[in-house]
Amino acid sequence: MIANPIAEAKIEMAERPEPSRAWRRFWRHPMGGIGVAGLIFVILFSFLGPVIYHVSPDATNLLDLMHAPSLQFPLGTDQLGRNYLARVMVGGQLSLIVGFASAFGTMILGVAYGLISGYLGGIVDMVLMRIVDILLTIPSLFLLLLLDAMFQPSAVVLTFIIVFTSWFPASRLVRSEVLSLKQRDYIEASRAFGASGWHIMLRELLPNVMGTVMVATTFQVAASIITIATLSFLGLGLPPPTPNWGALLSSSMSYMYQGAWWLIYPPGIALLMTMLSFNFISEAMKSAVDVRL
Amino acid sequence: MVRFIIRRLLEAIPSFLGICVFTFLLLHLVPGGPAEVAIGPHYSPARVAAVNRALGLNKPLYTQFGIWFWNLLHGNLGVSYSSNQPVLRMIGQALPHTLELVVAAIIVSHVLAIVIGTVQGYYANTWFDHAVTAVSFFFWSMPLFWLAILVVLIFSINLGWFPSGGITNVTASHSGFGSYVAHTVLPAGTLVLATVASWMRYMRSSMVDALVQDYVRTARSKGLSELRVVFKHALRNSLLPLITLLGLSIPSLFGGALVIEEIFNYPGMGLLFWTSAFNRDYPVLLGITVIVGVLTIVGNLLADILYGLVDPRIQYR
Repeated sequence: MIANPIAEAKIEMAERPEPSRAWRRFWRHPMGGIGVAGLIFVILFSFLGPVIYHVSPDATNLLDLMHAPSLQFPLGTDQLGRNYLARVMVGGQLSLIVGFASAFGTMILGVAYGLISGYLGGIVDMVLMRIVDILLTIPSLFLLLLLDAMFQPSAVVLTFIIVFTSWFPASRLVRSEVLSLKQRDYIEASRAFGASGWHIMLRELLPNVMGTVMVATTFQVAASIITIATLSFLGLGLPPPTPNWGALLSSSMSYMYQGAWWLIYPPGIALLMTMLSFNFISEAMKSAVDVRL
Repeated sequence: MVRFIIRRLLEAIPSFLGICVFTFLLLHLVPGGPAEVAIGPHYSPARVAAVNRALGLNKPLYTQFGIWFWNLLHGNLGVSYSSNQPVLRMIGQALPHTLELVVAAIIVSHVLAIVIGTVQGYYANTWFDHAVTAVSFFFWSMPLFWLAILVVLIFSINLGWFPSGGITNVTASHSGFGSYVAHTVLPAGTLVLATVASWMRYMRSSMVDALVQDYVRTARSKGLSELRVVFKHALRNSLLPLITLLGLSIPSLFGGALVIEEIFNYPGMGLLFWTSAFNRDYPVLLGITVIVGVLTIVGNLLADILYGLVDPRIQYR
């Protein structure tokens, strides 16, 4: 038989290590696809939605205060007669952006800290991990509230505050992975070839903790979005003029007794959908790369 | 056992010191002191200087820390800037409420999680398991504050079963206790709903792991009843991860209590912290953070001791 390049390529594919296999396992997991679809929907709703449904979220209609949902106002209006659908759409934008940005920052800081601590080991490791232990005893919401009240942050500052208060668990996770990877033969071999510490950390160890890191990042995006919403709900967090889900829910509470249910459900459902999507994705990822968190 | 506890307590000292130094520095290195807030609209540099002098905020940082820490060791957490009350008394009034909330939630949530999680693990991959998993994913993903709003909306406003906020004074009224419990049901119940899902999932997977172990097969082959095998042999071993989880989740429980106290206007530490954060009331913020840190350390210690009581393989030296 003539050598068939396509067949050979297929064999090569099948023997390809982790990433592609993990990828396929991710899609085979029932939650993976649902989670990705949900997330795409939420992102489209928040970013493409306002482009298609072209109504200002800030325009007040003083003749249409507190309207229940109707054809003219699909999700009703709030206490200033603003179109609630437009507000809920726009409300997701900053939450999602800050959520992704802070999760990214958190992982960079946490991974760097964990890599260094785990790789160097010994006294450095002990001191660095002791610091993490101490920071973990303070409820992060308390820290966030403190920093938030002191800085009255913009979206960028808020991102940094979230990064500052949420990198500890990631650093622990990475460190414990590194501790076990460090013992493997290939690290020993790399060192025997004269590889520098940086090379071992970034080229040998980092790629092997990436699976864990990806799962943890997904968790962290969800956690960051919840944190932003919680802070805004508590009257801190993102600065007021642009609506966001947490703040929308916070103001909806004042009209709860008047039976304004349409103010309470939409932002909450949007948040819930976002959380469910991320949790589905991370669940599928967890089984795909086979890590335990 | 006693030696183990003493050793753990000694180990906790650096952590305690760390929490104190960290929180103190965090609060004092940041611009915008409490003087501005205390003075309000009649703001002028001279007044700020006067207030700072009166509060001791013009001294070097290490002196301020030394004074504060010395007082702390003597049980004096200072005086609140905004209410002029001793911080210890303010915390003393708020702490019991928060503890009741958190402890009640932990107990109810664990009983539920253990029972449901065990049954779920036993019937893993049946329709029951999938249904419970779906429900727990739902509650796990639910933002706590929205959950609390929905609880108020349904059980207080629509059904009118329980009061939606506040708390009655137990000592002042004669029908105190009943109404006190009624006021606690919704906030504590919300905290239970928020925590039970993740604990249940841990319990389930831990049960699944335990049920395939050799000692379970041994127990079965001895002819023990299924109930005894599951609830005595498998359960005891699968409780271990849950205990570790409990110790680790204490800080987030306090965080959750903060949100719930704010929504239910429940006069606990969370609500106190929240109002103090807005007022930049340093002594109160410091005091609460230190107390919560101590409670977390104690909680972890209790979890470790509990670990040994449940798992006979662990011996304390």
